[in-house]
Amino acid sequence: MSSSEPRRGGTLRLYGPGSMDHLDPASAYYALGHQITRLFARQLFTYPAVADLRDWRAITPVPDVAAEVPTTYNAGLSVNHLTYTVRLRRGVQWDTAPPREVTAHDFVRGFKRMCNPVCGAGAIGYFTSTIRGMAEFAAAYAATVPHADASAAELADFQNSHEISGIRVLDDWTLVFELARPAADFLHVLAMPFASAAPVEYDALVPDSDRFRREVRSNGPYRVIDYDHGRYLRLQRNPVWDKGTDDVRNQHVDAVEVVMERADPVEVGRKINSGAADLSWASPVTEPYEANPTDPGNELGYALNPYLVFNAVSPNNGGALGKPEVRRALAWAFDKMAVLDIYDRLAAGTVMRPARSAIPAGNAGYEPFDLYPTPGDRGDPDRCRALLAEAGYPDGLTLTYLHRDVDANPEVAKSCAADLERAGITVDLLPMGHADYYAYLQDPANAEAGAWDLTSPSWTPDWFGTNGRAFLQPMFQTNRARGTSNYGCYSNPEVDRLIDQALATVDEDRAHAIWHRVDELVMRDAAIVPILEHAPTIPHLKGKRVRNAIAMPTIDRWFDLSNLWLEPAR
Amino acid sequence: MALSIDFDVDTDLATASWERIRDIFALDPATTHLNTGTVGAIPHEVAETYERVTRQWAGGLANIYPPSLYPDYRARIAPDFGVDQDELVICHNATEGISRIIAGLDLGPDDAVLTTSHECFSVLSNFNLAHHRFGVRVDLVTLPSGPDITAEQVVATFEAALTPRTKVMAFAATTLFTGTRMPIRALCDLAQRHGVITIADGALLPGVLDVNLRELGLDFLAGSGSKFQCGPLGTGLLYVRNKVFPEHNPLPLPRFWPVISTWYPLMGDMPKRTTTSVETCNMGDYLQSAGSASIGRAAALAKACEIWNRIGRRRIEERALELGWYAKRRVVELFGEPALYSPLHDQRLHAPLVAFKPFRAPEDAWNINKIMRFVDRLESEHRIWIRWVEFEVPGSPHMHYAARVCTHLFNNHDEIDRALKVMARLADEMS
Repeated sequence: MSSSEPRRGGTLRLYGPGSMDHLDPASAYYALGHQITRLFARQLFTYPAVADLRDWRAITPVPDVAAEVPTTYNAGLSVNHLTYTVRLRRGVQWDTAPPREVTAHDFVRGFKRMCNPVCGAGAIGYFTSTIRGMAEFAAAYAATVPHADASAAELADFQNSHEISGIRVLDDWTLVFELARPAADFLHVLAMPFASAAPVEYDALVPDSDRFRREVRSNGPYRVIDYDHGRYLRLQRNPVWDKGTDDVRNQHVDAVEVVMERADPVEVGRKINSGAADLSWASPVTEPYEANPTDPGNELGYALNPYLVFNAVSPNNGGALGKPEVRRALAWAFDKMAVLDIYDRLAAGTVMRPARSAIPAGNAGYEPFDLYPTPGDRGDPDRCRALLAEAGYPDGLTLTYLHRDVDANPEVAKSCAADLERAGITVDLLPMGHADYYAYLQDPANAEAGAWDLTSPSWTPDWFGTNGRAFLQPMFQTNRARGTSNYGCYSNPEVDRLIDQALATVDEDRAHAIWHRVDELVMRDAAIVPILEHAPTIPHLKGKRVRNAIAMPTIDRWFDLSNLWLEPAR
Repeated sequence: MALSIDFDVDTDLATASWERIRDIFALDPATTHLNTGTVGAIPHEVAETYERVTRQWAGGLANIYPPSLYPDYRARIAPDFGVDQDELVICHNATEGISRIIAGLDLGPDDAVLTTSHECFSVLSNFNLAHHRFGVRVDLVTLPSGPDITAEQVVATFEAALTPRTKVMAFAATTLFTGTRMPIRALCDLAQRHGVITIADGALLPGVLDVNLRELGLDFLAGSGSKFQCGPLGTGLLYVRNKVFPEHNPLPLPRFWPVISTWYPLMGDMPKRTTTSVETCNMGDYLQSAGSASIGRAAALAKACEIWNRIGRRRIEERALELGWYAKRRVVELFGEPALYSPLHDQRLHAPLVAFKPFRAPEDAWNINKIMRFVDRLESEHRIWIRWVEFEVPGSPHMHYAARVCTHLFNNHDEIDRALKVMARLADEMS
């Protein structure tokens, strides 16, 4: 059989040390996991799988459950760009018993669930700063149900008795979004997996709870059959999914199975090359790199990987990390080239270089600047020590460094810890499994309790093109709600004001200038230390029987599992 | 097939009854055409002219470039609007006219344009283009709407938004959303006091209002030939002030580039613009000369204008406005005065367009589906053609959706009455 013809059947096997952060689309915010979310949760708009990354369509949302992209010509977009009328396509079904059609009400429920105080959306600011009345809804939700252990009934009660004034259901198949201000990136925002439809059955489930994970529903080509968080995941065909209602996905393989185990990249690569697995799950295992130095995906916009976040609300060391002068002192310490060497040894085959700003190259708002320059990016522990003394800490600090315990993360943590120790700082390393890491960071209670002082996550832009907000808003806008991506609870009113100002303009040049100003401010406050900027990840290794594996830049160039198929093993 | 009626002498039409005049239009008697604001009904004579002239030129070897400047047709049409041939261009539609005006002005990053959110896409889109291309700032005001608005309120809205940077004021002659006939002369007075260039989107002006463009004091106007003027589709009129009559507009002529032109010199510049009432160049030719053109199109538009002259432009204006006033009063009777988005009490703002909310529930005013269904059902079930419009209302977070009824000389009271009663019944049913 020709490999260019889709083949139906087989189980796609992913293997590696990763984990989803959450299974619930309302809170899932880890690109790796979005490979899976895409299989069972549909949004109004989504990205198509386009093999050639030079093709603008690879980063442009297309209708998913929406019937068409709203424009002024189809009366979907008002002249002032404040009103979007989105019509839904018919025939998209939930895998409920009996199957039930996805309606506009399901999307409204999805938008409300994003604001839940138990496990909310990591980039809730995209929505609350854009959709009229959503910020008020989220604030009222937090005030009415202020505890993280709320019951499903409490949550449903609030959601079903309060409305988001800027989201209106005209009928079962028509949604109207009224914006607080025009947003050129609104379709990208709607294409975030947070904005998935949610069936009425979710009213009985606490978001991302164990029961939710057992009872999660699907309106995509696959449905979750078995999920053991951080260990195992199996999806099988959703029998009620109809290709006629889905322009972007297919259902070639019978099942998708993910085995999540501690394994280093060498082991993962060996397993894939031996035919025991088909794709890597999180491990940076790459295809031979001979043809990729000019990979067009590199030009789309770099990711920060890794960057260091300081816990600005840590009570440890007398609250030292809450002081910008302390964080600024620490920012001088790091040998970025040493971290680059660690990644180099992985032979990940990606373009990477030292990062100096919160917005890395290729993204809207990027301007090259470096407030903490050291020769060869090797760091200056002596300067760190001196500035720390100036800031009132001549005897250094004791910091808890939280890190993932897989892949390059332990080595990166050790390297950065060594830099700090050279500056007279004591570092306690706190390893954590992949399955718990992001969920732990997203809970501000852990930051407030001083459970960690610094950590080294990564950040890839949620979309490309007009993406000025895709770094700065989730990472730095004040947000201490559960689910936040401002892990260190950094807060600067001037930054908030400027973010608001950037969002308020439709003038791209002006927005660019303001985003850059925000970048300068957060770097001056040393809210983070950018370590490396990576091309939006790597050409991941594929098993021999995998065909049509198309990397999607919007999910960190992991593959669109809904469009690949498997050839029989020879 | 509808019958073509020939009138032998001009006086026939000047005195003909409106019932008889209705017969000159290619109207389907089974339909009620209340959407001239989108497209007019063309007279049979216009269609025949288009066909005849097109046939005359089809396959011929004559030099088509000189007649493509339409010198005669422009000379015949220009006086209908109180201007000269050198100030008038036959273009394809109001959108093209607006585009060429905006593209032809010298606008830069120190300049601002003041316009309204109630303008047609063609205006807003081209100003946004100019913003990105030249850095000009675009200041938008939202016009008041409803039965109580006054000309003074409209002027005050503009006056409050003028800044030292304002270089251009752009507004519709009649707004396509609420059917507000703008106080053009007063707005031009305001603009002239501030040394500001004026542009009118006159898509809904030619063929309904009997105006003298020069006396209005405008610098530019782009109008449609196929709406109220009832010419063929793909016709428009572009007025460019090309001489200075201080009693109407004492400001110097603005620097203007005739973009899309084969008349602009291959070397050297255009003649300097005049400072007197005598032109120093034929700006109309500069703009009209753009390669070959459809002679039939211009001939047919000239024919439509000629028919209007035979009927009498003043007579047509009175008829159209009277029908519009009748429709407005019937809307008030059937739906209530608060249903009106169009002006009512200030007659200076009247145009033969009535925009209103047909449904009782206030929230239905921002339900696009409902208004679309309403208009669709009028068309499919009752053969009544109107359109729905969307626009901003000051202070409201919603886009408002309204039914818009346009009346013109070929309509009559009975059909307006019948159509509005049908609308009231349908709205009642849908409420």
